[in-house]
Amino acid sequence: MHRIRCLAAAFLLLLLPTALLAYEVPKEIIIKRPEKNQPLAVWVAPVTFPHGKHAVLNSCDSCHHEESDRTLGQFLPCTQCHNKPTVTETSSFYMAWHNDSTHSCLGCHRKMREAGKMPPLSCTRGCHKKTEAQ
Amino acid sequence: MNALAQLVARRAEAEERGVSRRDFLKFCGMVAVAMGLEASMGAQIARALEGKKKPSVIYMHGAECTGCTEALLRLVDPYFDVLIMEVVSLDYCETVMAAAGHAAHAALQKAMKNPGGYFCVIEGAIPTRDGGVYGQVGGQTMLSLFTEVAGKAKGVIAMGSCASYGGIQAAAPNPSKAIGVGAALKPLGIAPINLPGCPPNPVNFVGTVVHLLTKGLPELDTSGRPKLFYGKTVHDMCERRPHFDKGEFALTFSSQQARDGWCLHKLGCRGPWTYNNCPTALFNQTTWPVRSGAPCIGCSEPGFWDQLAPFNRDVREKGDDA
Ligand code: SF4
Ligand code: SF4
Repeated sequence: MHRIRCLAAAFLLLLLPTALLAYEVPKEIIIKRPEKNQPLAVWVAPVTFPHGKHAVLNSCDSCHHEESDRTLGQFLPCTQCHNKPTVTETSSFYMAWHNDSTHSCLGCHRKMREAGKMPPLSCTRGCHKKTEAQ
Repeated sequence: MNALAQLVARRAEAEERGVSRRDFLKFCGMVAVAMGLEASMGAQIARALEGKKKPSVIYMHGAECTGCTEALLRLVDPYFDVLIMEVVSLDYCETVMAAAGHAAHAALQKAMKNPGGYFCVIEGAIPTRDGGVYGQVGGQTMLSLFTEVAGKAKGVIAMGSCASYGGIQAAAPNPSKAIGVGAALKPLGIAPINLPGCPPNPVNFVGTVVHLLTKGLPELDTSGRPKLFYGKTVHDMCERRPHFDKGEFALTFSSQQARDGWCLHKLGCRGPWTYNNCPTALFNQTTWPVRSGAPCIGCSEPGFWDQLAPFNRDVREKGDDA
């Protein structure tokens, strides 16, 4: 029995590099509001998120907080859970990005500012670029 | 004193007590609302408070401007005297106590020996450069005095942004190397309840005190602030928000749009990531900065001052001049 287990483990170990190579890290993701949700701000367009850049700088679970080593390579999109139309519940689409927690865009950028770094923070200059004159 | 004069005096005294009792009940109702409960819960809070021995509070002043105490003095529901006489027993506070010099120090020593223990409120940051010599009271550094007073307290409240995170005292170049209470007293294992704001709304102080007395420690966020008062962003409760949502941004302070209530985001509003209850708690029961046409400067955030300045213009991004 013990030998079989060892063999199985060795076999899995051999497979590991292929598994690591197999999962994709998207370079860019367009974050779109779930279709059933009303827009909160009419001028906010889908956000182009530089996923690759963030993936190089942070570990996967800094944002994909429900993932574990077991689910490596099968990460769920944020909107799988964060899709409610409200602005207050953590499960809302809005709060996925605007939460106080460092799993969330705004929470993490705020914390980085406190540490003296300069990630974008302004709504209209950071993620929701709005340049046209009013 | 003749009988009539005595009667008049007694009536006046009773009336006074009556008013103060009404004040007290009103205050409990208001605290209930600030704590996100029904106003009718006020009676319950009143009972809980009345049933207890008034806790002793020692209020220390560090490197600060006394603005937080000034805000507290402007409490209306309840008036400050009701707060310090009926809710707590304020046993030491340099700003409002009659004693000075050695008599004040003796009062502090006495208050610290209170057998029932005491809560310590600290307003102001703590200078730490060169062992803290740039901030002293009666020849003792604030650092050592606060270590002593806070170290023996049942609980510590950091009142205002300076006490919470350093505030303007810690702004560059920070010659006295001032830091917040939490950072300074961390080696003692002291994690204060932070009530940041420049100044904090006095309602947040009163609400926190009442919560401590009736239900224990309020739930805190990752920056040590009670979620009851700092759980939402200014932006999420802002009355100019409908204009933000429509993309209607005032571009100058003197514009008709600014007067018409358009969003102040492009004039540098920090409301979208500032956690505080200004829009609902209001200052002096009257207004709050954004309503009056001044963008939020993010005074209750840990990075305030340096990370949020320069104010009244859009948020600085990488490459922008400071
Ligand atoms: S004024 Fe400030 S807090 Fe109010 S909606 Fe505009 S950006 Fe948000
Ligand atoms: S509006 Fe902003 S800057 Fe003004 S008091 Fe409130 S949190 Fe502080």
